[in-house]
Amino acid sequence: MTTPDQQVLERARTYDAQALGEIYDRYAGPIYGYLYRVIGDATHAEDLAGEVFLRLLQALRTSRAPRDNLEGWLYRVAHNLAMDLFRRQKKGPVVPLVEELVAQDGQPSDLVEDRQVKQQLRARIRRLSSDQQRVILFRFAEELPLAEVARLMGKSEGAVKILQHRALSRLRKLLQE
Amino acid sequence: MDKRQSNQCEECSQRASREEAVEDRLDPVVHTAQQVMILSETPPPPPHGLAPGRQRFLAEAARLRAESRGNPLWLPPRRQLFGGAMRLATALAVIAILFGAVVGTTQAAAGSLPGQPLYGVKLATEQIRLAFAGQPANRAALQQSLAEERLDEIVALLERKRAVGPSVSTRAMRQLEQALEASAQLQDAAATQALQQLAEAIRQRERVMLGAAGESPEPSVRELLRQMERVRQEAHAGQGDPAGLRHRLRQGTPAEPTVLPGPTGTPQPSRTPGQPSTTPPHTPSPSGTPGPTQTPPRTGMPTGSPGPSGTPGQTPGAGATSQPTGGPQASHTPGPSATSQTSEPPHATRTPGPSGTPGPTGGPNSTPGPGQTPRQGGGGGNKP
Repeated sequence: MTTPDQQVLERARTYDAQALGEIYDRYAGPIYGYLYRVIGDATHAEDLAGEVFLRLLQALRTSRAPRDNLEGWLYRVAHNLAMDLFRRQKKGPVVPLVEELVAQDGQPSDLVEDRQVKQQLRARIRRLSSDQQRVILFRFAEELPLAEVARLMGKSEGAVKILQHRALSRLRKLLQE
Repeated sequence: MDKRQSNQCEECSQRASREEAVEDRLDPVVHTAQQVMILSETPPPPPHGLAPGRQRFLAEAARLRAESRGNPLWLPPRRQLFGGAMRLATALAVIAILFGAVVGTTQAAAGSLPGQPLYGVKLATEQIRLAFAGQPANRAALQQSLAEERLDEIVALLERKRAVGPSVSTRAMRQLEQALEASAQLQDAAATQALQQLAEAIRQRERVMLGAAGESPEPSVRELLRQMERVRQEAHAGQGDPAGLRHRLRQGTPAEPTVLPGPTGTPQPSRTPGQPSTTPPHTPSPSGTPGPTQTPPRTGMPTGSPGPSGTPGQTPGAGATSQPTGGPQASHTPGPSATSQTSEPPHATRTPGPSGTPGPTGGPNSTPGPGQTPRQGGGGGNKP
């Protein structure tokens, strides 16, 4: 018995345009949203979302191609690309564009303060382990249910609960520093 | 991590998301979760939308599709599904090739001769076979087979007119000794049979080797022939008394020499006249288990003369057992394989034994059977 992911992946391995189009249409939006919540910058999130799907094309030619749970694979690649971006930008978190700030409703000073708080929070989250980061972001930024998080991460719900509790405890300490 | 705690945490997280009250103890953790929730804002739309990304993605896919069709070395993706099976098949193929190479080399080495490149492989293979021989009977049979193999190698070298080095003959001697010891360690009945087979195998090789060695064999071959004869006598003597043979092997004393049918069924080949034997004189074997056929104790018997037969159970006939060992041989001609020939001078002065006449083996063509094996003090063959 094959899952929908397996069926579409089977066709995608021959670089079938229709199958690849389906994959992009289904997952590009959520991946972009996830990257934006991790990075906090729309331009970088957009670039990296495109990179995630190019990585998929490269992987389809090798044994590293996802066999199933394509969505989880895409989220993992997206998260790794975001961490690579942060590593390249050692000077600190990505600075948001001024045009974005002025385009938003509300006072610019409030928006700047709000963004600073979020960037500090993201910086603390990045100090967690990769799995802890992902479970925190999936559960409380993406607001995915526990079962969905377990499926995406390829873990049991019990393991995700434990991971979540440890991540929150550690993050609380980091936020108190 | 306590499972209960993590469950509580999850429950409180859910309550917090519904803005319900949570336990005080877990409140800080829940508060942290609520802090993270500020990231859950709806992201702004991508600056350029998702459409350009889609076009780029599909264009790259089209390029790769065209590339893959033009590249004959590119594996169809479907086959990559079976990457695990392919790897397993590759591993099995490698193992099969290695196994074939080992088997092929071993088989090729089986026919090699000393000095050839694969001879070391042959010896190593034999050692492995010996290590796994298991039961003493199997081990004795294998030792005997290896001894025959060593002798056959020397025959092959002689037939090809190639030199038989001392190391080659020494290796054959050692293998003969090991075969003798392994056979002697068996139960009496099995030992008798194994020793009989060993003696017969040596006798056959002696005959072939003499023919292949020609008129003047190399010193190493001559010495090997002498040792073969000695082992054959030991094996023959041990057939009737395996316990005695075991005892002698433990003590390191050889058996009394006896006249056995030579390689051609005739007495032993005569030694080159005047050539002294390198075999030291035999000392009597007082530890030999005396049996009913043992000759009476000899007092004043010259040193080096055959003492009391160490092979009392040598299935002699009644007449044979009554013959004295070491009877005088007036016309005795020493043979190269007679290990007791250095004791000839005393024989010449010895008084005849009770029978005083040579035994039935005095004739050159006599081929006494096992039960008729007469003993002669000189142990050498008669002059033809």
